[in-house]
Amino acid sequence: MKYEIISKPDFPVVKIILEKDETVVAEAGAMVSMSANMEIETSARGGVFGSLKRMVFSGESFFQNTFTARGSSGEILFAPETMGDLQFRELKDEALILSRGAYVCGSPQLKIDSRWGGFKSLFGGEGFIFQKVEGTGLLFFSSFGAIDEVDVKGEYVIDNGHVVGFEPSLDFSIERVGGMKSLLLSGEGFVCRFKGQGKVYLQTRNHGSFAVWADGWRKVESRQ
Amino acid sequence: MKIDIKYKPGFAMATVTLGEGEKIRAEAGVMVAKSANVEMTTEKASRGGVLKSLKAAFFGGESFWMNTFFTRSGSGEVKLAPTLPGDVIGEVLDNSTIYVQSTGFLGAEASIDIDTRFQGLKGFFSGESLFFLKLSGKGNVLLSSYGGIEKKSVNGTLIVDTGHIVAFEDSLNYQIQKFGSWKNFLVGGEGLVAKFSGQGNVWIQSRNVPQLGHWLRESLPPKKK
Repeated sequence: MKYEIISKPDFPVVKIILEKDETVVAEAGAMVSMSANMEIETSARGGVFGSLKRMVFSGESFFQNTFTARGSSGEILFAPETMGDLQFRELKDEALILSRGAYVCGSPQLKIDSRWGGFKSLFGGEGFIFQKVEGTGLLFFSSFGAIDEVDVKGEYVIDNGHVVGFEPSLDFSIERVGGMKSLLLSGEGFVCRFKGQGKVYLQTRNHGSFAVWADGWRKVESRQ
Repeated sequence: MKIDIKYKPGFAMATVTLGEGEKIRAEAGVMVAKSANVEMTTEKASRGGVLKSLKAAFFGGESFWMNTFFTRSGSGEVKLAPTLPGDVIGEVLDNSTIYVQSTGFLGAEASIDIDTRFQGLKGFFSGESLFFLKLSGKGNVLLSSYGGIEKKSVNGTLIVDTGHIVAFEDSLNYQIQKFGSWKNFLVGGEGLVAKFSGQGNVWIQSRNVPQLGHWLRESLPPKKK
């Protein structure tokens, strides 16, 4: 599988070039265009329960599409859902923790555990769920805004709405930032405190903030 | 204070490195990340003037609070980013004053004064949810834009659609004018331009905030009071 990310970082797409009979898995709806010899299989990947878990816990859609080039090599373009960046990472028998909805496409042999971090990540207040992607293969994930990488050595704090992914070597805890007054008034929601050594991917925009800003423009219904 | 701005112009973010004793203030909700030794306190931004009549629309439901970031010892970093897709630019005020449109203010060094009695230059916009902040003093200021940002040096006159103004220096004179009925029709109620004259800088953005707001207003269902 070869890839090319076009027009980073604002509105990128990834071009995947598959050899004959090679396969790529993608989020339903991520496909932009593809060569005519692609065979598509839409499945509830991981079975019905696997897909339900994925949908409920990680915000991914129920269906995933498996694209296979038949007869010859083929090309397919994938785009993320949100306005933002597309990041590539090659996993070599390792794991990466991704935030809800960040997965775009990847090698079929990568295993996705849709409910990771369990109780700890449920206490986020922002529907904050992680999923673990594990194995060997190519992984493409997306963000709202640009992706910034931070190599944590010690301790680092990131606003929850800005976490895209991180290496599992890091320990994390979810807390409110600031003192008591800050708690209620600061406009900061929950933050994720990372400890140890490892890489964190953060995004430079925040869905929650944008939604709240947009909400402020809505007409107020007058009572009849 | 070191300011590093990346990911221009679409999803820009400022990484501020604070030295010992340095403080930066930012509006509620713009912190992306910080090193563990950076502390945050929250203060009410003002007790009067424009910020007193602040609508929830601007600060998105939270009230008008400013956060101050600082370290007790050593240096630390804090990353700040605005809400809308767009750019960030750093400017240094040297005992000067600028007016910054409300969505264009990202942060300022604590040495910069945010005028609390200033009435907001409301005439620039036909609605209540946008206004200007008055910043003066000596130090770093971070401006953010919806779209890309361009700094224009005025020497004479320049006419700018008010929805495209990020900030301007107080050395400039301005006059608000209607632009004509066709624009009113298209944008739905705005169509105001500012005619700047004199000498000074105007920062403009390549997208129009009230236009986005109106589009959202038309596209989203109304909400209950």
